[in-house]
Amino acid sequence: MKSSFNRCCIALLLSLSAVSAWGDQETLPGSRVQVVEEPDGSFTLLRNGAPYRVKGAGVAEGPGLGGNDLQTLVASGGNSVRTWGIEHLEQVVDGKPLLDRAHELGISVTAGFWVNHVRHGFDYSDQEAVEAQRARLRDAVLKYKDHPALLAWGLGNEMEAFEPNVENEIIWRELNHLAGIIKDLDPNHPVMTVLAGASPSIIAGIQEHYPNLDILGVNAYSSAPTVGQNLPGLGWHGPYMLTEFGVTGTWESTTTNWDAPVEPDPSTKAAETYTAYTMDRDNNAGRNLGSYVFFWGHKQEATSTWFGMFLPSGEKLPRVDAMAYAWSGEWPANRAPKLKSLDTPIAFKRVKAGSQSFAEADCIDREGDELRYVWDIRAESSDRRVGGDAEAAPPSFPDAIEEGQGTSRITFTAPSKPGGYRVFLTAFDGQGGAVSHNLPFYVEE
Amino acid sequence: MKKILMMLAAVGCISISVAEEPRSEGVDYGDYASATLMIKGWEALGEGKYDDAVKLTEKCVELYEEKAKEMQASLSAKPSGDVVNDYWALNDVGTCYFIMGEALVKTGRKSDALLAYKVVRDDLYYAQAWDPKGWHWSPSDAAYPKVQMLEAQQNDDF
Repeated sequence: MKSSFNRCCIALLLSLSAVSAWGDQETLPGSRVQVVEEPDGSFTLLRNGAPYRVKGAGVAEGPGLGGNDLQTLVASGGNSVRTWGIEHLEQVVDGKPLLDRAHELGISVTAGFWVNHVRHGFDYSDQEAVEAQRARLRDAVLKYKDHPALLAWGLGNEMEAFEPNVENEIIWRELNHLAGIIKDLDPNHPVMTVLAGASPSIIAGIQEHYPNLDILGVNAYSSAPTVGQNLPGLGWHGPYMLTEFGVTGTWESTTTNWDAPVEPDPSTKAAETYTAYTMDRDNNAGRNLGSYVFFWGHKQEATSTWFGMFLPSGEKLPRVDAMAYAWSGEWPANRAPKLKSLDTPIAFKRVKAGSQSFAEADCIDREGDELRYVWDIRAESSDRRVGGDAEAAPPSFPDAIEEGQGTSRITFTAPSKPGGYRVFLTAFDGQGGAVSHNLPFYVEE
Repeated sequence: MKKILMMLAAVGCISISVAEEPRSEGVDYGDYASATLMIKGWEALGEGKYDDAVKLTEKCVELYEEKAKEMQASLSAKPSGDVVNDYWALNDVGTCYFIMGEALVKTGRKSDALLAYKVVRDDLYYAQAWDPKGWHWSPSDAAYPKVQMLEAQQNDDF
């Protein structure tokens, strides 16, 4: 790789390392991170001279950052977090800015810089806007480049996807320019750009127009287990990270006949997340530098529980335990509860408004903690977006639940307004763990 | 067009629709040709008629597995595009095992699904299926992560 340095260079860089002030109270050395190509064609990420394999998670805001959940990541065997926007670095986590808190916990941060998307209104032919974006990047690099927790720059996310009427060449050329700005100001941290999956044409475009790229980031869901295995066939022989992975995407899943995606059950989601991680780790021809599971927090995307690994109230869901098992080889001492079954006779069916039904769950807690059950009837999301764009949470209908709230079985009435709905069950163990699942149904007039 | 959508669905390119409580009304095996059974299997899977999908693909296996294994044994690599259709039984039976695995997962028969995926992964690994986008894909490669995940669920307490 053009950007790879040999180990001698690393040693020299380390010997010349600068000292920068961070936080209010201490002076810390900046980190030095490089990608090294080994004689056998494999790649190693060196952080301050030592091999470093990323065991990470994507974070942005809200649950997953506060309430000691970065500590949960560390306790689970994770060592890094990835953000999407530079503003996330300023987020206060456990009383400190994210970078400082990450450093305190001994984990690194791939700092995302959100490069504007055409679908959000950015015009790459507007030179003033382009220059303003470049200036914003310069400011960010100068501000954060010497922080010891910084691992890499995540320049742009899925820039090539969901962009109508845009030639990718324009995107790659601008990203190359932006990466050049980073390299001029900060030669000590590699630049990674994240794709929404890879294809031969995308790889060819990057290779032709984006030589400043150090690490290819790939977001993948159902195809995540085989990304590393398939990249050489697509033309990519350089280093990469799996930058989003976890469960089958909402766009890849089975749907009801009213087009509601069917969320996999929690145990399947946990197993899928574990399998994606381990298969990518073990099948990549030495090109994988690590991965970031999606999403160490809470996110409304089709449902409130599809991708998020925590509830809004901060409880971890079973996928957190699956990643602990994947990263460390051991299950945590307190597991999230396990859902053995969730049933309602109206699941996947069309029913009349106001018709009565029931739902019941069979959950266990491996440590014997008493479970608290919370049921929720919610409308199907009417704010579906692409590319992970923020979606509004659909309304809840608490009055639809007639009996049994707090127990493992409820009776409920189908709402009066026609449309898609879901019955959600969440079981809490009272020890910071929970499990949640839902089943869709449709109300007809 | 329908079969095209089903093929895309199975490899994760698009989603497929769960029909509302589909009922088997006697399985139509058509002319019993391997391609017919395979295509009807895809269609049943996409329509949520999982039991039908299993029956159709089982019939394909019953009638053509011997020939498929014979074709597999004659190969030392995946056939190139110009001759891939010469290995019709291998392609159709391999794809049917993949469809069978998908349908069995949907019905909760994960142990049986694991066995189906393993056949295509381990025994019929030169089978290829046509993607209407313009290339062949490997049911064996597609089955590989399915096997890994089901084994993980079987061996560990997720």
